[in-house]
Amino acid sequence: MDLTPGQPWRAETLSPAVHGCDLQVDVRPHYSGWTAALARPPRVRLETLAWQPGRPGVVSIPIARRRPRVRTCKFAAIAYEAGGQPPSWDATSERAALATGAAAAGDDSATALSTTLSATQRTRVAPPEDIVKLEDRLFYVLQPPLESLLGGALALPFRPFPYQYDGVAFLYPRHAAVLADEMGLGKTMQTITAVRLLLHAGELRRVLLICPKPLVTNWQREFDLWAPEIPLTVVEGDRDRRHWQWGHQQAVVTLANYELVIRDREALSRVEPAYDLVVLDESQRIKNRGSATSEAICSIGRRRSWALTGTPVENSADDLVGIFEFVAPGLLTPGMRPRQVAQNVRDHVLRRTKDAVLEDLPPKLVRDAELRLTPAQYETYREAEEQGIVRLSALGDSITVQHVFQLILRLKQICNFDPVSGESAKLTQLEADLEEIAASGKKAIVFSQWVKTLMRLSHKLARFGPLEYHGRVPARRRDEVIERFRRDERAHVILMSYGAGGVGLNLQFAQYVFLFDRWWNPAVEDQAIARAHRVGATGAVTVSRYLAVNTIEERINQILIEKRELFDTIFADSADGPGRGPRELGLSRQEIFGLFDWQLPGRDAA
Amino acid sequence: MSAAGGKSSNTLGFLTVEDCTQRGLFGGYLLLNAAGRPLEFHCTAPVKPNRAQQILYGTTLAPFLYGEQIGHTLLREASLAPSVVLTDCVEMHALAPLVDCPVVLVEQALPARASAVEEANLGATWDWFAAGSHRVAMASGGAAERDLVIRQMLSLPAQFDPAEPFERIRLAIAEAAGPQTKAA
Repeated sequence: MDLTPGQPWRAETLSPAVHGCDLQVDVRPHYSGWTAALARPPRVRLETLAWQPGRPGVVSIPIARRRPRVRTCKFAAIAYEAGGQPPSWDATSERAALATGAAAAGDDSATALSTTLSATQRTRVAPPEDIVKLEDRLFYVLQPPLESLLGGALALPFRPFPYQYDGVAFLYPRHAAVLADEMGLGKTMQTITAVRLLLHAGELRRVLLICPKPLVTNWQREFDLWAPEIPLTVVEGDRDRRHWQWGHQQAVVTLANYELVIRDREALSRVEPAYDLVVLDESQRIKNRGSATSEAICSIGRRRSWALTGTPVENSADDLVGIFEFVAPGLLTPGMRPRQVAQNVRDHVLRRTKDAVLEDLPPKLVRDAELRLTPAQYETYREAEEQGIVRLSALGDSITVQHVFQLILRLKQICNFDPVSGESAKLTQLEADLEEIAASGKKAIVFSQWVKTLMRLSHKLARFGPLEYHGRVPARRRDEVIERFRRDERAHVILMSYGAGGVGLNLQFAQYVFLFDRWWNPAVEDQAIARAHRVGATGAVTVSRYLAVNTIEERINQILIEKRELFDTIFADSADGPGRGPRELGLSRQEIFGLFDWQLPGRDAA
Repeated sequence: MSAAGGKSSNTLGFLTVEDCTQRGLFGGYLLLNAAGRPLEFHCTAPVKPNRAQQILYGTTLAPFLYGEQIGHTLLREASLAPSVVLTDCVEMHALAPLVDCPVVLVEQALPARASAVEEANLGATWDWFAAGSHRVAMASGGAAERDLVIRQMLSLPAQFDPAEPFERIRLAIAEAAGPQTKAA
């Protein structure tokens, strides 16, 4: 195809020339006869098979939903709280009670109980070992801490020491208890507080308190201070009045002295119902089993028995047997070995000493100054002892403890000063000690049981500015003496008798105490030492106990040491621990005779 | 509330669980009157989950044991119904839906949290709020219950330590179960 220039382009003009060509192939079927066979339906064979699929293995894990077993204790509602204010959770009533308490105390300087109780100090009541039933034990375990109970309406006028809370917690759950704290630790307050808690808890309704006659007013005063809401009756007056009092008791707490209890034994035996609690103050009064006092006391009907004493053992472990005849009859038997006694009373006795519980007290250093008498002094001593023994031996069975006692006093006086030569080994030692004390500007207290010895010492110790404080110093002058000893820098020593200076004085400014001669009873010595070694003392107190070796003083001391050991064995578990033992272990008559290897005559022995 | 007795506004319940390594979980429930004196005490025998329970319950095991098994059982046993149940166990949140009195976690009674994670977990489960001088928490409950808790806590004096009764429960569990009951 040719296109000339200018000629329009058209489709027909572009169509190519097509030439056809037959490609049909001639096919002729060939009949073989198979086609019919192919048209027939196929023959199918059916076969049914059972299908059994395998189930997966299953492991069942039971999940226990059993409820745990439960132990249940239900406690009786405390009676006094039924309609009253909650004592521990009511701050308003606590403040009111505080005001009342402070007024009763009448002492502005006293530390009133803070309205905010310490969260850290919680004294809990632990059940005693003789309570077996779980519900009863849990009753005590689940009580609030004492600090909480003694807030609110039961607030105390003063904050007790922690050991006093412990004492209350000890008494509270016990039916048989001996509170054997050292004198001055507040057994009275602890007892009143425990009684008060039990009364308010409805566990007590009637209480009988028996004490020595001179202490009746003291107990009244203490009840007024620590439990002013508790009605108190003092049994007193003539026979008819007393019998009426025993028979018509409205008071919650009845106060009586030992002598009246013995006298009114018959009337007391008719008192119904039995007392919920009987408290014995100075319970060493019933240490002699079978005595009228012991029998009268033990016959009083009661559910609880508490004994208070600073001297649970005075002479032997049998003293405690006597007290336990009242507290827990049958727990101790006469002649029991001290270790067995200790084991049996372990849960019933609480014993603390000042040294152990008063943490503010400075240390007390005690030294036994064992001195040899001068040759002349010893010669005088030996002669007096030999002559005295011969003279007393001649008395035969008519000898009495007074005879022996006179000889002991005579010998002890010679140990202080030789009446023949005037020599004194103790004075020599005392002068040496005082030289050092005076040089350092310190002060000392010297104790003796004889005024005569003190006056003699005053003369010999003139250079140390001695002051005297004993029975021959008029009472009106005594305060002046003490004040001068406190103020006068030249007065380095005060000479005191055990009787006049042993109690009630505060001499914390003295750093040294000398026991020129020894008292019969460690309790009196401890009282004397406590003049300087007491709360408020600024430093350590050094105590020197003079002891003349190879003399009666040494023998007496040995007996007292053995008694301390006995005491320590029995009260080894108490708060004071071994070595801080008894304080009032005087000599028995047998021991006084034994100092000279004599037997107690038959009449006295009985 | 499942307890038989009527609900008393003067009765508080204290519920805790003591975890003793060797023996299991001991539950203790103490009911106190307004003076803090014990009215009832209930404690469980030791509860110890088996291996299967540990695996299957996983992280929900502790709330199950504390709340459903121990807490609920103890509350059912009590004859008195408290107005509020205080607890020192964070796992006790599972108890709240099962009883009809508020279950309150007391911060004062809780051990110190060691980490921020613990603090956060605690906040996630419990709803904290102030009730007087105390900081407390509830796992569930509406405004009415919260008001009730606040009123109850406000009625307690300032010196009241809500952690103290839990000490009593632990001592009582030790007394009931024997001295070998030593907390883990």
